Amino acid sequence: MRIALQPIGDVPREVLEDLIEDLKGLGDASILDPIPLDPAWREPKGDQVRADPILDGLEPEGAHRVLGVTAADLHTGAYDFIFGLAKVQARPAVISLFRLGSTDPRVSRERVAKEAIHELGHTLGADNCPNRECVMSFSASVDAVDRKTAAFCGRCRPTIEFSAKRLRT
Amino acid sequence: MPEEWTGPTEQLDEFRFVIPKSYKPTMRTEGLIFADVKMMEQVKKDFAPEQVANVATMPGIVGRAMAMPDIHWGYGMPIGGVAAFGYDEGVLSPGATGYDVNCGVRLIRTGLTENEVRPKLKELVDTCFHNVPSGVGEGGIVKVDRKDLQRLAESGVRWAVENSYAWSEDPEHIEANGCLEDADFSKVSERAIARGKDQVGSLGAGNHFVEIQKVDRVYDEAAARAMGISQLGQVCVMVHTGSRGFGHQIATDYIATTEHAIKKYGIELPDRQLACAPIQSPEGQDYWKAMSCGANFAWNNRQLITHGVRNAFKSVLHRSPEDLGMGIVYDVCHNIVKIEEHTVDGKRWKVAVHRKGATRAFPPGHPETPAAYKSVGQPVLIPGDMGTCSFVLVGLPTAMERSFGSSCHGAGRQMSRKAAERMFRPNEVVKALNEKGIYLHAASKAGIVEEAPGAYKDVEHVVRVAEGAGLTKIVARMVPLGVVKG
Repeated sequence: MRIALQPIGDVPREVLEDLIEDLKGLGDASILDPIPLDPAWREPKGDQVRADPILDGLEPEGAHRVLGVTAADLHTGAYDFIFGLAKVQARPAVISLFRLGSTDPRVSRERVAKEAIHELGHTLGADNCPNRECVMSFSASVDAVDRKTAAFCGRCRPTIEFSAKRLRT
Repeated sequence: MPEEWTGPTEQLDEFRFVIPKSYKPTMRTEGLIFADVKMMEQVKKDFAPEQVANVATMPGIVGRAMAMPDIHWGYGMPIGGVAAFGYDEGVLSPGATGYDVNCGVRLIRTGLTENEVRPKLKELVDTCFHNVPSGVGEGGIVKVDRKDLQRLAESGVRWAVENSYAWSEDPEHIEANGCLEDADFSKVSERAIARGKDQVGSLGAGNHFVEIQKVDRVYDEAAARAMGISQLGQVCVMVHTGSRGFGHQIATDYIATTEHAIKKYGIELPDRQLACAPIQSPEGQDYWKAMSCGANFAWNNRQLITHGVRNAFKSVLHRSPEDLGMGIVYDVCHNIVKIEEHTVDGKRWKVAVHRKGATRAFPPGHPETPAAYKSVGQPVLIPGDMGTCSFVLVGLPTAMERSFGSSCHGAGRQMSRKAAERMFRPNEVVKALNEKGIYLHAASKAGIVEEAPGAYKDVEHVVRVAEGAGLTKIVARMVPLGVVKG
């Protein structure tokens, strides 16, 4: 699977390069030229950005999946904040670095990797998973992100493998 | 008796297991099971592979005796079984066709979305329940007299069109256009006629249902669009039922007939349940004509239920079914014999393809694939068990050479109805469904537990294996919003 990483606004280069490494289990990632954060996506009050319209603006540029990466704080109508959002069984996903930071850079990198895999997992057809250790479990806090692993559980893995295999044919 | 089937299998590739001819001296051809390693372990537990080997011994069999990934133990031939017999020297077997002749699935689309339907869901399900009689022996939507029954059994869905139970374009979206033309009512017994008369437009018990569903995954946008599935959350209605007491009686009658025929024609079989008659014999021809009546009855049955469902939507939503876009996506048979042409080992054959718990899956461009689906392939409808998901697939070109253009038909039981009754409690099943946002209206409590989701194999696994094996491609997934059960 070819994954396009789409920096939205100012995103540190090393985060994207770490992601290329950390997403190897899913496919080959490459970095697209950054696009600006559309001011229309910003909420008139507060500093947050709506995630849904971002997904519509993401272009995979020939890749199978596109993962938007932004430093902005994302939310949807249903949730006050989110770590990421994806269209299920479709191309686009986005993650926000805003709430994933830690004083330990290794922890930050792990969190970003897990949320990236989680959102790309949705684009490959997996739902949120009730297994707390599975990367597809829904995380409402960074603690929950830290508790889960970066791996798919036995139920989610076949879904991911099926979709990934299909992309190869 | 050993714990599980221990016969030999050779793994051809990731999704194909062969039972070699050497397993039984009477086998005329190999057996072939479409499954993956994990599934094969489960399959061996219920001895269904033995039934595949048994079918391989039948006279006139062309190509291999096959089983789809949802294979499980059945009467004579396993559910999920596919076998083709040469038209000139082969046989027809009512047991290998199944008791519920033309049990099948129909999908009706709507232009509605989940948000529009949710507030009226309970009312819609209850009205569908009211409009469509369910349960064992319940009367049908219409009472027909003998003349009507003959007309509908001989002319298929044309009868429903003539009587305004069908739109004029409905037959185009039904396998075989909703009619097997060779049907001859004089070959149907009085007992079958008596049982069938009051059951036209009735759901029946068992795993039969009417389900209001929403599309929750689209895997192939182009194919989905061709079927009028344009967005996630779009509401569809799935109807799963067959030929009721009429078809059951036809099967029963001709199983008795063929049990005599095997003696008359000197046919030796490893299992009496596979009783059959040469296609060209009077017994074979009579069964073919009677089975065709059963198939036509089933199509009219699903048509009348469609009529009941359309009316339910009309009365609850105060909009006409036409305005609601309630056209038929497709209607497929699960238990049927069809006369088809196939190429086996480079030779063109006219064959009687028995599909029992298996679905025809013709590829894009096949002459029998309806015009609307010429570029995407024939839709294959896979009903899930209550509370899980159903699938729309399309036939792949490779299915023609690999499986006589056939694929799976459902999840396949992994627990007997009795075992399920012991395992589950009706109230808990209903509660679990409610928690998922699914409203259930059932005629009997037994029906709820017999068909509880845990009693079946994982339908998603089955359709993935079918795609891996090159039989069908997954197009969309639907999840239930409301269920009417017999």
